[in-house]
Amino acid sequence: MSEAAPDANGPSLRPAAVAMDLERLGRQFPTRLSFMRVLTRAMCRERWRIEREHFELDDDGAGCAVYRIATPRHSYRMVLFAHALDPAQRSDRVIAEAWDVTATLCDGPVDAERRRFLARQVPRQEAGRLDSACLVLTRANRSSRQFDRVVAALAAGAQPSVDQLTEVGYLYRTTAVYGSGKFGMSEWRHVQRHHPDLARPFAAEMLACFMLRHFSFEQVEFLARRASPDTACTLDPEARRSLGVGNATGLGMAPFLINHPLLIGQWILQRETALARVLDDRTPSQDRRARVCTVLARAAEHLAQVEIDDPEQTECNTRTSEQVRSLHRWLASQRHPLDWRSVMRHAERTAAVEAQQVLESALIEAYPERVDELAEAMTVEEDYQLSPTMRGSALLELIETHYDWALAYDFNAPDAAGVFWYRSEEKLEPRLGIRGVDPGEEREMRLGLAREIASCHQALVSFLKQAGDVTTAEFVLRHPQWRYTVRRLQTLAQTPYGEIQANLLAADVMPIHLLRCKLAFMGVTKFDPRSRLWVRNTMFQGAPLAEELEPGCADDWSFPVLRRDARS
Amino acid sequence: MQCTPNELLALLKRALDALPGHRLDADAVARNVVELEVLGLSGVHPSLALFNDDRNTRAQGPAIIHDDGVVHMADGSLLAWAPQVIDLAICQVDHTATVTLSIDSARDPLGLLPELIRSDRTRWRSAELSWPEDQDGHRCVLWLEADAVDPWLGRLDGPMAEAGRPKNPVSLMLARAGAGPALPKPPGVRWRITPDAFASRRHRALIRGLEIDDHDWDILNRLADRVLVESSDRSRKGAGE
Repeated sequence: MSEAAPDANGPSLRPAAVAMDLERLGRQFPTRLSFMRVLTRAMCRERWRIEREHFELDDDGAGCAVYRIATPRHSYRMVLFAHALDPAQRSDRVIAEAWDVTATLCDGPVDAERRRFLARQVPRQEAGRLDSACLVLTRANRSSRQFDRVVAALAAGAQPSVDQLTEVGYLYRTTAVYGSGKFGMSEWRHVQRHHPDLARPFAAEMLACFMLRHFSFEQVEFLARRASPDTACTLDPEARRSLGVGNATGLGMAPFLINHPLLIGQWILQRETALARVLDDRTPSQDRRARVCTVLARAAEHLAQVEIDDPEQTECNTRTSEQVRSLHRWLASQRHPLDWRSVMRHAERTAAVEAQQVLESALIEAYPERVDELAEAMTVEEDYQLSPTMRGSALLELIETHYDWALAYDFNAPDAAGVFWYRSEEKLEPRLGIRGVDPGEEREMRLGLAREIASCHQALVSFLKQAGDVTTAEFVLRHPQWRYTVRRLQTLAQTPYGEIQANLLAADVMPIHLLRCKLAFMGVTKFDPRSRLWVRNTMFQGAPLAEELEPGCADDWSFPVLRRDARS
Repeated sequence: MQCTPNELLALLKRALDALPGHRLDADAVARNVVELEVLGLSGVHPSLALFNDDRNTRAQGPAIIHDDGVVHMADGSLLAWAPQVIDLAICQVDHTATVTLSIDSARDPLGLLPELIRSDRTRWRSAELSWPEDQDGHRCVLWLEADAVDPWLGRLDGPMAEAGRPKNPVSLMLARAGAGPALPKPPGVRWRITPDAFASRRHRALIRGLEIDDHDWDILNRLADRVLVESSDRSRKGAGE
């Protein structure tokens, strides 16, 4: 196991070189600190109530549904518009113009007039204008093969087969979930101040996805009843739980991770703190060991059940499943007392990074009383202050010690900056171009932080040679183009983890690692890469249902597994 | 056009990114413009001039600092260069209990306000900013305490403006934190906007959004669109299609 950095205020944390390595971050799995888990825990603990207020669909399932979500403090509405979509128009791309369902999560009551306003704006998505009562805007497309099969099975009075559920795992797939002030909606600061129910990162967005899942059940049951009123049945709870919401995520998510380093660093710090607190238990009880074994066994089965098209990821899942099974067998067979650090060391010796990440998730899973409170510290004020009085020599030293990873790249090598990021005229979608080949290089987005730091370092060295050991203020006065970079790196240098350590301009960059890192924090499963640029995945699979939100509801749905023996 | 502060921020950043070869801290400039609008002061309209004048964006920045604490702006905009001016003021206040910077030939003095609000307030205790409002000797005055969120904004009339006040066009005074007395709230000023009034403007901006002149909004969009790259089948592959 990599040596941990001492932390005077708490358990030993792993060094940034390990925790912030992009390839490692890109192989994470969700934990009990993931946002979906945190949200559903709160929903159960506080007995949120979800009631259908309006449900008017036609024979094709098109129409409008409104759900009231009542928390102990407030009530919200999820307003969904289901559309009859020509299958030829169905696309996961952000640049699509039509969807099977469009929806908004909003604050306060929704009467007929408000419904009419939303019916005019929500289906237009990016082209519409909302107001500050709206918290989230989203859309989704049906998984056509799954949706139709489930409706047909229910209409015939049967439950869908486990094989069918396993193959896809959801009825709807979201292709974008917008919040935080976009298209006239409420700003994050407002949500944070006025809606404590949703004052955690992406809580409102996750709630909208949870509600989309709930609607998908009610819609297939409605259509089954319409198709065959005499024979139709409802989805049984186990089948419902095994269905989540699909998601397709592309490059649009990548700039968020680069442009919010303090926030991402805070998430990683909480996850690392959770792991460190667990590793601090030097004499884990048999119960804890049993709990970790249970999660490992389930994770191995989960990975074995994942059915995706990508051969490389399939091979990886198979290998990871085997390695996790092996870790499970080894752990279960140990008769002598064992501390978690030696278990981690064993995993590092015998298993690849993916399996090590599964183990980390399993360890965190076993210690709710040590880690759950960390979920309340996932927000941070993102303020990148310049320290103008810092001497140039101190700034130089700071760069060379904290950003040595960035200085290690040779940006004279052609492949070190082989790609560039740009915004497309199609819905401002971020895209990747090949430098020297694709147009748009002169309008490049500034996401190549490693190169920026290296260039800033070079400018600083030259400046200090001429000007002597002047202040940072004087450097950024003469070189104003580096002021943002300098205040960012000065700020991040004060945090335990700093920046994600990667060169995003490298010809072989894997943006999918960025996407998966963020998606794991969201809590998604079943990563299904469609290329190095976008990934499908599943949200809320195995999560409690809307009608199960009670304090006693088991918060135990990591690595969801479909029980073949109990079904079909 | 009604928009949220976040939408305006994103638009301004794109517009600044589209300026070829600019040397600004675009993030700070965009935030400062948004903050002015949030406070109900004019930010977007004066910022449009930044895009038409290379002096504002490609120049080296304010030529500063003589021993007498004069900053020469050469008709540059403080919307563009407020971050650097505040950096210098904070550096200077590190060495003396009270610092006064006189800023010559500067446009958009209000640009200093949001940067002052966002600056590291552990370094200073109180601040006063003033500039001529008209040819008759009236001066606008801003006074801000480090532990308050928002400033006082008012007007100082002619004769009193002349008496004992700095004569340079824009004057920025900072009192160091933890050293000596705070700058007194300047006497004789007719306060027009109190911190409470600014607070309620902030609140309104968060709830109702910002009202931006349609024409200005269109100009800003056109400027921001210059950063976009035309789409093609090949470029769609760059998004994984």
